[in-house]
Amino acid sequence: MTPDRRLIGSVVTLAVLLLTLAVGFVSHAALRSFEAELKPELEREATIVGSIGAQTLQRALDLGVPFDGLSGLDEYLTTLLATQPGLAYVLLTDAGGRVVARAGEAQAEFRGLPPGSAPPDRGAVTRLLGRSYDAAQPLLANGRLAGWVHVGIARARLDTALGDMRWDVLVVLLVVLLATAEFLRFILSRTVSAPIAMVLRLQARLGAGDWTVRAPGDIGAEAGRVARHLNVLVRRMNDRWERLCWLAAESSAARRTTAILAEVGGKLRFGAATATEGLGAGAASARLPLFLFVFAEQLSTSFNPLHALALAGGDSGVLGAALPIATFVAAVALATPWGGEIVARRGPRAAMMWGILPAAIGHLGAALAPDVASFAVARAVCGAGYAIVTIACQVHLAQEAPRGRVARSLGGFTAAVMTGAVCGTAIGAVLADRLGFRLTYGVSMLVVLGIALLVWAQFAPGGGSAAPRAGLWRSARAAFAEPRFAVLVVLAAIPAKVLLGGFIFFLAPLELRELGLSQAAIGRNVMLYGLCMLPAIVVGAWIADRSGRGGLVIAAAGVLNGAGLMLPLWLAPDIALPGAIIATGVAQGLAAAPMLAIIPDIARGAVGSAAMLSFLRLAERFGSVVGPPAAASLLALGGGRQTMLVLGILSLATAIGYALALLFRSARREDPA
Amino acid sequence: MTGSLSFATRLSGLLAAMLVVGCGLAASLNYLKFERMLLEQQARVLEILAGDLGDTVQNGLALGVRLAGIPGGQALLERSRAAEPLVAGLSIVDATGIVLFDTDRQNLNAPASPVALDGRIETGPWRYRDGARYGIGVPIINGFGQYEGAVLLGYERGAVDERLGSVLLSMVQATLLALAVALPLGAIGIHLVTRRTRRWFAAMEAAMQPGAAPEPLAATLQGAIGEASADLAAAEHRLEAIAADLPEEVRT
Repeated sequence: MTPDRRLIGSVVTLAVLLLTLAVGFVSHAALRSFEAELKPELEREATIVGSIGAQTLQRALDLGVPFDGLSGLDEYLTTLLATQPGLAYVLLTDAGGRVVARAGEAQAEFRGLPPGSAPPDRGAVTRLLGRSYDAAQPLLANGRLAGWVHVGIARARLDTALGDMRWDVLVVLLVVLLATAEFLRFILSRTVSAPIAMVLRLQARLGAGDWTVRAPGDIGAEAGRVARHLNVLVRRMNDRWERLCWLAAESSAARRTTAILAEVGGKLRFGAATATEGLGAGAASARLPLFLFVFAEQLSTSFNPLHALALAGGDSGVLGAALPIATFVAAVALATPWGGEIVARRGPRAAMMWGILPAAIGHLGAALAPDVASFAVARAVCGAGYAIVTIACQVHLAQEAPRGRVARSLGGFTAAVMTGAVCGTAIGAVLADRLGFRLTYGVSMLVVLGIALLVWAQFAPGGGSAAPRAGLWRSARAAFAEPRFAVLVVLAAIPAKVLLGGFIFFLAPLELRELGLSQAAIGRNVMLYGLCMLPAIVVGAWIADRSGRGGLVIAAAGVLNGAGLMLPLWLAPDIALPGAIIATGVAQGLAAAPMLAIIPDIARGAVGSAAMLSFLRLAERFGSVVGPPAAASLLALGGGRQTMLVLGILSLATAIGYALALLFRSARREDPA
Repeated sequence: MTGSLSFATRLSGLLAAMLVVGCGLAASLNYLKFERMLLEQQARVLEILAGDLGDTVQNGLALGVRLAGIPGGQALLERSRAAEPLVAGLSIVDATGIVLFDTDRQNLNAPASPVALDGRIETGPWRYRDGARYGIGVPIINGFGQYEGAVLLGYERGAVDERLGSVLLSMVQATLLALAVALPLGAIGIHLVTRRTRRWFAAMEAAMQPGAAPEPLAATLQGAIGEASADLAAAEHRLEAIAADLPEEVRT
């Protein structure tokens, strides 16, 4: 067992424990002090409403109307309650605390002030009664206490705010924990796991008698010292060998000395032409910038359509609001082949730097955009950067992955993208709630610039190649000539992305806002998609591997997604919307791995897996481009509920179509005649 | 410089940085939310006051009095201002924006700040911000539903800032306390959980020294070194022997 086997788990556990306790303590203290500071403000509101209500009654008493002779009290109190939203009740009691008139829902435990309570010199008597703040204004007749006007402010508003803030704290904690895990993985990989693996590889080679190897000299920490000692050891052994060669050369008994050297040379290899054993930490080192890049990009996911809608001019510009999402995805689709070219020619590091530049400019443009057209252009620029950076990271992960572990490395790519998406979406909504949309785009730009520094410092240059690439159209024709691939693209990949772009990125934020949710709550709901997708990816891959029926998993996921989007038929919108988001996350997660795993099987004998994968991605981008405008058109025509139903029917129909195609193919295989 | 730092120190540094970021984010985001909620609550309370003043003026209009001639208008504003310390200034303007009554008498008959009337809504209250001063406007509508003017209530955020200062102080104290406990605990924890790995690196380092004592953790490496060393030593011994024997062979 290698010494780093339990290290990552132990360090992450320690970090989770400390961060949870520290952030929890700070938040608890913050919420407590906030409640203490907001309470007097709520009491003041109750006092002011009470004093306004008491004025009219006091005027009547001052004119000589006896307290018992006041009429129309219930109507008056009802009017007072109706004019001020957020009041729980307005009550009138006599001097003994007996309720004379009431409006609103006073709690059962309401008791008037006890007889003999002295009226305050100024203001009201305030107290906490059950779930309400109660402010009691005295009414005086002939200088003597005649009664009290009680105004209750429900704590619900405060409780809602505190609940909202607790959720935000949980989001912050989740994001910090996930980010910490990514940073820890990065540091541990570079300073512990990769160096230990390298030392073990070197040790195996030395054990096999290969004394030509060297450890890289640019490692830091303990691993660097071990590497330097190892190089000194290898040098020492090589010096001893050279001395033997010199001794043999000095001797005139050439036959005997040559035999001795040959005997040693048969067991051990020495030489000046040494080979440096690589550190092999590249795969992990690409995960962190990818995570951060996706994090920066997804900061705006929960409010992109809202910002676009505001720029497009309110609800009249629903179609315009879909434009920035469509231009972003279109730019990603168009720039992906170009990004591939850059990576191929210049290597991942240069490509990443090339991609980061438009991404940063795009975020800045989005922050400053005065109208929806310039916002759409800025998002398109972001999309171009996104395409280049993600493809550069993907290639880098594949290049740096240890032999035989490419699939696992690329699994790390999906995990980094999804973790970044979950963190970005959630914290982006919280930031937008506090800082506003434009400043949040500014934060995205700063994170992207930070990634540029990280890539510049940590990535090795080079990695490009001048190898010729196959013709695009020829590959496309060959790929789509394979019916299984065409069916997969048309009935599974494209519909899935239409739902993702149309529902998750466009419709869900708008519909959640219609429910009156705060920006942070919208973000939390949209985040459910990524949170559910992460485990579903693992489950989908496991089911597909165990059962060997990836196609059925894809079809079942489509049915699940369709059913989820049809939830508004049976449930209230406040439950149906999060339910549909969860169903979409689970369904898309379940289908993700089988969709990729099916490609090598289909590609056999037709066209390369890599080319088919890239066409699958291109088709998915097409679906993402079509999704938002399609959803916007449906929204403009029939409303959010109808749009969800149509998208659900689309998912069900294509999933059933895909399942039938699988059955048809299976039947033909069993009955070749 | 960073190259010489041990991996445990780097991990402790990262954990410390993330603790600071986590606590800082929780504190600052909560603070920003508090600020918005407190400002909203203050505005809400003052909106009720401004609305009540508007109702009082409208009751006067209902008696057939013109807005400029509302009896006791100036006194009403001054009384209201004195009753509520949050209010920085009150004025009543006519439909053209000219100030008819104001707690600051210097403003009488002058046009009101355009900022205050820019966002005017004739169906309900509106809010505005004029430099450091916040404000609430309430329309005055006559019995025929026509816009006659507005009550403008100006306020400053001094009271909110006081409360925010108190919240901030409590959060800073909590953050410092949390960090004071968590940072050393983190460093100790990292030191403990990395012991095994540090020992392994140290053993590997020691095993490669000439004449190193046996290191159980680096037994394989020491085996490889020992084997190669023995082969080289044996060959060396034989070559030296050949070199020593040579003159005798030549003699024979």
